[in-house]
Amino acid sequence: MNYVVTVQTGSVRQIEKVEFTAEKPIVVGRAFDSDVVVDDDYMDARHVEFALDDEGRVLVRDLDTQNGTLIAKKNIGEARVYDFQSEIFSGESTITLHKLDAEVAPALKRETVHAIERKFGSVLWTLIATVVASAGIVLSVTLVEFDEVNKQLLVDSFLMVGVAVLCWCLFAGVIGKLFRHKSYLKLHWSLSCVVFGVSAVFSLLADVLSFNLDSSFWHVVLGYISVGLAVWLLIYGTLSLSTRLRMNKKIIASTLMAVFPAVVGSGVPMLAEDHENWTELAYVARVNQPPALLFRQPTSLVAHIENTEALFTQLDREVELSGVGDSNYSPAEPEPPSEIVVSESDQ
Amino acid sequence: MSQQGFVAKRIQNDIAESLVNLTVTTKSFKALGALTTMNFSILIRLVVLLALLSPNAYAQEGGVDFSGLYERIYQIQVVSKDAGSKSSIGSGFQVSSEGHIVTNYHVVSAFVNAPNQYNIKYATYDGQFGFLELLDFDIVSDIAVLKHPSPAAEAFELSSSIPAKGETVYALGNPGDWGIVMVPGPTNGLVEHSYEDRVLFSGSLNSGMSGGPSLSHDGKVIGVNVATAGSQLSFLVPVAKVHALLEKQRQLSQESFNVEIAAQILAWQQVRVQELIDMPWKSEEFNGKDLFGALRNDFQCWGSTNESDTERKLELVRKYCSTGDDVYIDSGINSGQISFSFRHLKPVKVNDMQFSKMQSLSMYSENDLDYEHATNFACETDFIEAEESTADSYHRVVTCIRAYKKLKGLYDSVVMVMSNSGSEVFKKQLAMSGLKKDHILQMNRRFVERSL
Repeated sequence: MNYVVTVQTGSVRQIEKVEFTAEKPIVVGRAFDSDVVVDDDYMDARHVEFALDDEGRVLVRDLDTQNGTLIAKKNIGEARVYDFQSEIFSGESTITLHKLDAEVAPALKRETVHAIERKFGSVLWTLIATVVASAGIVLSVTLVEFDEVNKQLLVDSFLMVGVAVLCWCLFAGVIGKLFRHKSYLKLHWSLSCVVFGVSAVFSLLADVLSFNLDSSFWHVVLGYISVGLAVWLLIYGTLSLSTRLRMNKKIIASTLMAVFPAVVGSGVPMLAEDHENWTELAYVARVNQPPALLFRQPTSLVAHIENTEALFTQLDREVELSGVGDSNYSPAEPEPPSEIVVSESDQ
Repeated sequence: MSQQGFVAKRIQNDIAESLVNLTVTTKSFKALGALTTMNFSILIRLVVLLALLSPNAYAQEGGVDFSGLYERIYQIQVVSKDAGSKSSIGSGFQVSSEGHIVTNYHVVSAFVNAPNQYNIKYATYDGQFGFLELLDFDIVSDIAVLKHPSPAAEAFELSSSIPAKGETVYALGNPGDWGIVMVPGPTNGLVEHSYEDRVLFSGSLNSGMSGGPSLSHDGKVIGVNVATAGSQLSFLVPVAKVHALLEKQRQLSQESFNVEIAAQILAWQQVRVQELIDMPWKSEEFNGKDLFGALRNDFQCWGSTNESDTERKLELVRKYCSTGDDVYIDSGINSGQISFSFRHLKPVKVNDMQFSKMQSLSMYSENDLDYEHATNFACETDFIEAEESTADSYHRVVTCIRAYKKLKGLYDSVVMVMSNSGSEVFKKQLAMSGLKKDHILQMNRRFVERSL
């Protein structure tokens, strides 16, 4: 009878057609004269024998070996009838026997990740991504920081981002190795670079936008959006490359991760209690932005003083809303007791 | 960096704090490095009884006999309705046959700020006690008038003037539960560098003596004990302020306390700040720039550099000016400070990145307020082009304002003018508290104009 035997040793897989009968068994082992030669140091020279019994069933026989032969974690002893599909463990190898007409699993569908790898997995694209990220860093450092940019600052930023990207790649690579048996290191590198570059540019734009909007509310919101977006992209991309999760699960996971820092982090001002947001400090946020990013025209002192007047209106409204000073007394009430006494003394 | 300003400290015996004998608190979290530190004020609470003279012994030596007056000193307690025990104590004395009792505002400030939570109680030398009614107060001078329901027949007589420099006066008070004490010492006339009149007294006022009378040799009240500035230096409120308050003959309702506080602070600032706005600001050079210094007698300035610091990371030339006056509103709540500073900064051992990181991005007002009393600061940032084409191509001006929640119409303001030339930074800052809107706008404008 003809069969197919597959032997998986580590990552090496061996598939061979074999023929055996009751009279003419075959032997699997390390010996070169075996019918199926397996490169497994834990296997005996002659390890397993396959034969047919009188009723035509397949018999597996252990040939008195050092490490024995197991099926479903149980030593088979001398010999045992083989049940197709079950896996035989010999040495460090897994041996499976199939009938010729056994059905094979349908072909796997090619995934986007393969297409991405074919297209962007090359060294060229890795280099391009690195350049994009570098440009993002240079741009954000040059424009956001205090007046004069210096080499030290750039070097520091590059080192910081470089180490972060490298760590992330290794981490994602390990995950990929676990779930996909492939690490896609180059792709991870490109992905993190692009995300860093894009987020640097985006946070710069958000910063400039909120600076020009001159609103602390938008400053906070845009800040969270720019960070959240970067986290979302990075997590989604990494999950796509490293795991076989479905799209909706990836979206949920990356959204959770993107929202996480906002919720758990130092606290969202909008969610905190009023008194938690109180401080005796006057934060002069964004005063260090260079005027090159100021789309508002430099103004005059008179205009500044006029702008300050608006603060008073805003604060008065805030005080009214807080309702703290709202006692049942108001100075507009007719004849408060203190004034009566004064008028009497005047007479 | 620790030149200590002219900081008068009101004597107050907070029971909760009296366990600590000598507490020196700096606002450490405000002191974010020397760069941001402008506040030199160090609060010193003196609750240690220094050598107190035995009254009888002194009476014999000095030939002045006040033994009859001791019995007329009341201990004033602010008692928590819920806790049922005193939360602060001071002294008070009767000034009229109708039962008017004078003490310090700060002795009864807890009651003024939360009349529903406290009662004002008196205790006599012989252990009797009862409740007092608050009639009126002068928050700026730090005096209050209370009413005794069943007044004693005899009252202290108010003098019409303060004694000459060098004359001995006798401060009476009840510093704690030890009994009534007298501290004699010479007066030194009115305090200099103070906008508000205060009599300088060379004697140790102790906690609990706040609100007690200071008497001349003939037994007339010449002032009210109010604060100490350190060992053997104390302040008295001149008796004229007591006259002025009594003449108003008012009886404030509890609901109007906050309105009254705001009105009194505004009235005080009206004169004090308007004068600053109207007067010329005398030129004074600072680090090669034409700026200004002590604007008026009540301002004091300090300057410093860090040249002697061999480890310095940046070159700093600094000048700081402030007024000595402030208004105590309640424990930890005060207002009325005016201060400004000029700082010229240049990187030395740091690279530009570190230097820029060292620039503080926050400012603060010099007064103490909390969440209950003030909103957060709201800021306006603008860029102003330099008029003359100097190395500075522009200035950044940031104005931050916060409003008082309970004291309507009062605001605090901080302004920063930041000029960059190359890697050097020139910062000018003005901080004012407890002002009305118009005054803030006018003072800020004046300050920025003169600083550009």
